[in-house]
This record gives sequence, C-alpha cells and structure tokens, in this order.
Amino acid sequence: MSDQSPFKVKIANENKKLIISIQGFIDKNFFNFAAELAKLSPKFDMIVFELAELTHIDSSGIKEWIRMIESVKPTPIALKHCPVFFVNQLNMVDGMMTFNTQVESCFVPYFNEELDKEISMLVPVVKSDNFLTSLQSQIERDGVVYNIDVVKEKYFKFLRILN
Amino acid sequence: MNSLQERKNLAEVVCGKMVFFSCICDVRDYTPTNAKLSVLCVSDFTSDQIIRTSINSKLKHIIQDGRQSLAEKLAFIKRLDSSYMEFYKNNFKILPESVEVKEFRFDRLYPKNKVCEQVFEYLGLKMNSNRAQPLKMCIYELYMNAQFASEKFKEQKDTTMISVLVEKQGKLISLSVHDHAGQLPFERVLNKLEKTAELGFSDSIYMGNGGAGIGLSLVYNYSETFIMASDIMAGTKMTVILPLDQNPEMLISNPKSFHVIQNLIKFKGNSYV
Repeated sequence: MSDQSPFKVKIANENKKLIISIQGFIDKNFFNFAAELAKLSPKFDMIVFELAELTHIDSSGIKEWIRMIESVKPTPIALKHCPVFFVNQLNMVDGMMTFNTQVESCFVPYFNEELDKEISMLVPVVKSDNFLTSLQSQIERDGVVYNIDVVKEKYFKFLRILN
Repeated sequence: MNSLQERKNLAEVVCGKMVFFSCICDVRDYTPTNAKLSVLCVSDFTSDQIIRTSINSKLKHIIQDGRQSLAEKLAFIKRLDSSYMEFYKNNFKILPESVEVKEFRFDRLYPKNKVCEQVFEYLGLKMNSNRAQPLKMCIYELYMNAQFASEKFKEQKDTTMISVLVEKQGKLISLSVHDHAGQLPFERVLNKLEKTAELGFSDSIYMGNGGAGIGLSLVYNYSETFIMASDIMAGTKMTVILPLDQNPEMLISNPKSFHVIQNLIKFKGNSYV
C-alpha cells in the first residue's frame, strides 16, 4: 500500500498560536505529523486547525486524530472551518472532542430537494443559549431557497459533548 | 446474549446446513434484553417457509422500512434464493433494476482517493457533496480493508487485483469491493459491529498498531444493507446499499440489515464461475 502522505500542512506562528492548515485527507499517515506536533505543542498557548481544505478523514485518520488530541493535552485546540463530514465524525466518535478542544466555526449544509442542489454555509459557533434557535433554517442564494439539511440539535451535538 | 456459536448452531438446526443467513434486524439493536429477538433470520433457500416463519415469529416487530423498503430487502433475499451462487460474479446485479454493473479493477497499491474519484466521476457526483459523504466513507473503508487483506495474504495467493463494483438504481447505490484474500470470518465482522453498538466508536477503537477497527462499523452505520461473503477460494466480497438522497444523519438512523453468504464451497466445490 502506498504510504505517501495524502495531506499537506501549512504551519504559521501567530502570537504563540500555532496555526495549522490541512489540505487533503487524513489517514494513518497523520501519525508522524501528530508525533511532531506533540513535541511542539508545549511551546504554544493554542493550536488552531484550519480545516476548510480537508477533504476526508478515514477510520485510521480518526484513530490518529484522537491520539494527537491526547498527546497535545493540555494545550487548547481550536477547530476552524470544520467541513460537514468532519462535524459528523466529531458527533459520532466523541473521543475526537475533549475538554481542551473547541469548534470555532463549521459549515452547515443546506439543500433544495426540488433542484437537488446543495450548498454549505460557514457558521461561527457560539456558546450561548439561543445559538441553535438563531441558526437560519432557510437561506436564499441566487433566487434559490435552501432548507437546512440537518437536525440542529443533532448536528451541534458536539456542543453537548464539551459541556 | 446469544453467542455467535449459539446463533450459528441455531442456523444449522433450522437449515440443516448453513448456506446463507440474513439478519434483517439492525445489529445495533442487540442488547441483553432483546438478544433473543435478534436471532438471525435463516434460510437455506430451499424453502420460502423458513424465511417467512423466521420473520413472522421472531423479527416482525423490529423490521422497519428504510429508504429501501422491507419488501425490496425480501425481494433481494428471494432473488438470491435462486441465484445465490452467482453472488461472486462481477456482473451479478444487486439492484435488480439498475442499468449496469460497472466494474473498476485496481492494483491493490492503487490509492483509495483515486478509486473514490473514479467512482464519483462515473456516478456524476461531486467529491465535496455532503449527501455523498457516506458513499465516500464506504468506498474508503471497504477498499482500505481489501488493501490490508490483499497485502496480508499476498505470499499465499495472487491478491494483486481488487474489483470495485457500482450500480445505480434511481437514488440507490450499490457498492461492492471484491478482493482475493478471502479470509474474513463473518463472526469477526459481526463482533466488531456489536462491539461498536455496545461501547460506542471511541471505546471501540483499537489503539495498537494496524487499523482502527471501526471502519466496518462506520460503513454499517452509513449504509442500509450490508452483505458479505468470504471464502478462501472466491475471495471476500463486501456489498453495501445506500441512498444518495438522504443526509448522513438520516442515513445513520435508518434501520439496517446484515446478510452473510457462507459456505458456498459445499455446493460448488472448488469451481467458482
């Protein structure tokens, strides 16, 4: 099997925040990167993962992600621009979220059944009582109306995991 | 809870031989209190009566229609009744009204993301489509399993090629991955599914070297029908059926069925067509 890494990372240091942008998909090859990250993490106040260009995470990637989360504790982790599939995995595999992890923003899917069209909207995740009710159930883009394609309470289950 | 051996024994008692059995209930429903209701629905495909009896007497109240109706699932079982030995044939239609069975053949070293891209292109799907993410997960996990198995047994037999078979019937997709390793006992798969159902994904992950051990459970959760056959001569064929017009959340909550095709060798000897 090819062991070539299927993802690329860009790293930046912004005021003691380690910003990591991941492009591609996460699989078992994340292990090596995670090991390096564990060594680096104590030097930073926070690790920020920018996931807008993440395309997939498979089961071996989930395992390595959980290992990574454990290995950088207690350094806080922020997740930005989480794709929909990643949020689904966060909800299904609760070990992907720990007390030191927070989702800053994620994409929410909207769908138009008639036209069979889908779009995603970036939503800042705010810990407030009315966050879910304030989330738009319907949006309009270019004259097309899209309905939210998730059950809000289920999709944002990860907020409860954190609490 | 009925042990696998007990269930297997039951299958043998009912059928006299175990050729094919189906669990039309959802493996995730197994709990100590309803375990007896989850006894596998057994058929030797020589008697429709056995199917009906099992369903009516034991499983009726936990069977529900998903995107695929129960009638469709039963029709599938009945179709295998007369042609189950054809299951390994790469032109065997899982979805009876699909236009074609598209076969992709890959060297076992071929990367999984490229496999996924080819399947998506054939189906006219965008790689970033949210509703197609479950299919993507199924492709990655089933193909990765086939790669592991092919690599593991490469010294013992020719496991060079892996076939990926795709069918489309309206919004239903059937995806099969067929490797030539053929040494995956269904008990191991069922154990993994049950373990995940009982403990959850996080506590089921194997943290040692090797795979995570949750791939098939992810596939099971994201599909509606899961069919497997594994035979040292014919290889391992894993098939899933899933709809494309439901979001992943809905798909996870749909009822599942699990089917095993087993012991073909008793009937076909060593010759698989």
